[in-house]
Amino acid sequence: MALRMWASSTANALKLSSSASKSHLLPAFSISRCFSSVLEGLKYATSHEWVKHDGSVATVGITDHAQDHLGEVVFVELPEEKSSVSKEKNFGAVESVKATSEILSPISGEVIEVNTKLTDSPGLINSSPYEDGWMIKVKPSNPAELETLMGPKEYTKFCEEEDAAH
Amino acid sequence: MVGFKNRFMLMEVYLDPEKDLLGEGTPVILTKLNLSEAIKDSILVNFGECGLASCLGSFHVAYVNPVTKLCIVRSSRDEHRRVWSAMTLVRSVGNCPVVFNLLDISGCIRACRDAALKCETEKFNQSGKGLSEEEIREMNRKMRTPRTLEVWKLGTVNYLKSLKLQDKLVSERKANRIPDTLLSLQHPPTYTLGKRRTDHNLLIPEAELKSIGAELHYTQRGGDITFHGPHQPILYPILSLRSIGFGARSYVEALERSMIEFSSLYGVKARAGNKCETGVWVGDRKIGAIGVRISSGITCHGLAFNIDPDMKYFEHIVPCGIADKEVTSLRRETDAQLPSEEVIHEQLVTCLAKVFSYDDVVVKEDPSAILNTLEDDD
Repeated sequence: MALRMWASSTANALKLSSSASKSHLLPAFSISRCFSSVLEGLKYATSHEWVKHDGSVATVGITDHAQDHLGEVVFVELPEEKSSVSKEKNFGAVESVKATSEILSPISGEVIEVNTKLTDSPGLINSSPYEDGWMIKVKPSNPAELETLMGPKEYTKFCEEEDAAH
Repeated sequence: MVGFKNRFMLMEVYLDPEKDLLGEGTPVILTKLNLSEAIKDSILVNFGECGLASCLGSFHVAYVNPVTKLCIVRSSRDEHRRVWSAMTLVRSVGNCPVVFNLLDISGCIRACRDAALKCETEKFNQSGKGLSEEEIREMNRKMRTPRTLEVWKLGTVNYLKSLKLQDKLVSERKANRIPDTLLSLQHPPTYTLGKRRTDHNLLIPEAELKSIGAELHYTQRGGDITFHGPHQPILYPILSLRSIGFGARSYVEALERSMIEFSSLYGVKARAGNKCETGVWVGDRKIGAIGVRISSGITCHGLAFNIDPDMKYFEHIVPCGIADKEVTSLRRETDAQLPSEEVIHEQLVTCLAKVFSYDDVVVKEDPSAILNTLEDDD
């Protein structure tokens, strides 16, 4: 009976994948989309956060790949405005499927704005991780940190390798 | 009793079989990803979607050494011949023509690993001069050590102490000073709340808790209010999600599967929860609860399974914030004779280890000594 379950979920997965890519086959247990979207013009951290740098303001959120692996977000905890964040230190948390996951900041700086819409609509992180699901806006204290982050192509490869390694 | 019967196949990959290369100027670098893709494609072409689907659950490329061209592939015992034939029929990996040759099959990864080491040592001895320093270092790095789970059997532990212990172990795990660790314990009667602090789901005033012999604690884990107490085994896995390749959702799903596996040992058909009802259910009754925290990729908190707790304690809360569903226990769901609690804890641990594909489970000696040192830190 377990085999039938695997067979049907893989058949679903294969139907999805045959249009996108013939050679990329999915593991039986995840019926998620083939490729999580990765946007141009953003920088990415290995802990799956993105940064959009616009002059003196950097917007931070989590990537499509991250929200897909988290599941449906039911609660978001964000820092206060005027608090400071540091690179690779946790600044908030996201709760989904009974798991709270910490979010690490890809850059250091001062928090100038927080997305208050996420308190009432945490699902925005799932539906629009790069637009409406942004989490904090930061004034970077050390713009050179952005250079250490990955570009879109590097990040896509990083995700593929992470997913395939198991 | 071995639950999942696997076969581990040690294969040698001949690249561009016209020539005989070892190390120098190879046309394609073998990785787990490209080997796995090539084999899966071959299964699909030769055995169809149904064939691929039945192999896929247990198929896994466990080890690849791009220098010696050896790889270890795992498959379930029932499907291994299919996977073996598919591998023999693989014509190319990437753009490079290849031929697979089976060297050894065994039922456990350790025997296969030993065979692999022997074969690699021979290869190395035969053409040792051909390998550069860099390649030798690469080879040593690739010798994968089996994945071990270290289990701490702690008996009944006060909740706050268990939190302190988990914090300590999470930092140790993050710094890679300890392997993946599992705490197996119970708590005295304790109500706990998650990060959302949903204390409206506690139906008696906090002041009365002492009179019923219970404590209340606020935590950073996900999930709503729940009760822990005697005869309710609790497992707190302190794992590195990155090293097991799980995200939050797949980790929680694996915890659910562990409890479902365990229930089936007693003939109880449990299922995972529906959307927003994470946990393990028998029909409409909740038998297992989950609440997890992930910090820098390391998990803490975990699962609780009702064997035979005092169900009256659940009447004082809206368990997990779900108002119209009951809570149940293994005692209520089966007439089977239940073994001792120690045996039950061990069975639960074994189910979790299987679901998470650990090669080895090691029981830590005298873990309560650590608990005593925590007390001193107060």
